[in-house]
Amino acid sequence: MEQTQLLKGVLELAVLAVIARGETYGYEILSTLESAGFDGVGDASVYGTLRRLEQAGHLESRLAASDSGPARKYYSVTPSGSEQLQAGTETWSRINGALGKLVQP
Amino acid sequence: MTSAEYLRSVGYWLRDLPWGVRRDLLEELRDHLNELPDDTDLRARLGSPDEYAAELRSAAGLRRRRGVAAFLRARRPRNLILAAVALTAIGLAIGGVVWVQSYQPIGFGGGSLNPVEEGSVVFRQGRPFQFGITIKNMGRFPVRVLGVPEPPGLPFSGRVMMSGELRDSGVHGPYTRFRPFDLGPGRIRLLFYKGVLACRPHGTPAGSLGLLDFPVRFSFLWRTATVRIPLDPGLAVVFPKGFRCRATR
Repeated sequence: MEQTQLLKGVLELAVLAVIARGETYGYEILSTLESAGFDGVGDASVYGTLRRLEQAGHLESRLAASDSGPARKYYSVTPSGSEQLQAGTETWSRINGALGKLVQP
Repeated sequence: MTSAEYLRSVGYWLRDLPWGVRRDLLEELRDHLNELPDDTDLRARLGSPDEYAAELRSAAGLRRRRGVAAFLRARRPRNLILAAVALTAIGLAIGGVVWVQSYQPIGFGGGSLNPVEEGSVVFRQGRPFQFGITIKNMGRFPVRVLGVPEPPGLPFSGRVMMSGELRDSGVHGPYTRFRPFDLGPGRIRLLFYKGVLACRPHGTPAGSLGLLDFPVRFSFLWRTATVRIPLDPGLAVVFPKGFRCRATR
């Protein structure tokens, strides 16, 4: 199975996890994801996911001035997003544990 | 491909989305492009503009939109308002032109100056003749009365006369030679031919000649037209049996 498809499946959870660490903006989220190994996910997928999460009420955003240029859009997790992150983490742990048992030699 | 070109191209591939959504997505992309190092190969990093747009749609759950409603929502509201204002102005202008072109407020004023009661007059060379009607502006705007064309074939020689403004449908002087005048809403004036019956250079028909309407030339704004006010009853000029007309001029 292609890694990119697997990564996209958990992208929503990963994005929520990154933003839950603290208010941040798009490019920084991308950089954090790439550093964590999500380098196969396209930039458009991350921005699309941010929009979908914001529309669903799991994220909120505000514009704030940046040192390097025009104002940036900063995202933070809403209470609904926190619940989504917690539920997703539990689901992921359960799947990861189950898969681990299956794939272990 | 420069950032501006890339941004514009992605915008093209998202052109069906509501204007506000597209603006937000492109603003975020613009910010993102500004964050990337200057020497970034955009196609290598982001994919082609259409691929980027498709991936963005897929991740954001934005389906492709079609139809008239989608077309209108994809337009910038300010542009929609400007287009609506422009279309309204064009519609009003066209409507105005059509209205002016068809505006004809002149009608029969209720009075007439008839040479005979029974509606016909026997032709006799040099016989005094006067014939006319009152006209009334039935509309809401003033018009300019320019003249009274002579009905073709009328065996008459003389001039067109007019009265001052009349208070009712009665016919009374003083009368003056016709000259163009403005006829206000509700205003009445008498217009009539005054002269003598006379053979015309172009000949006179045998038998009789019927006058069924009274022509009045007028102008309103840029338009000039002739209205033919029906005569009820009309006037018939009857030529005596065996009469042969010889033109006097």
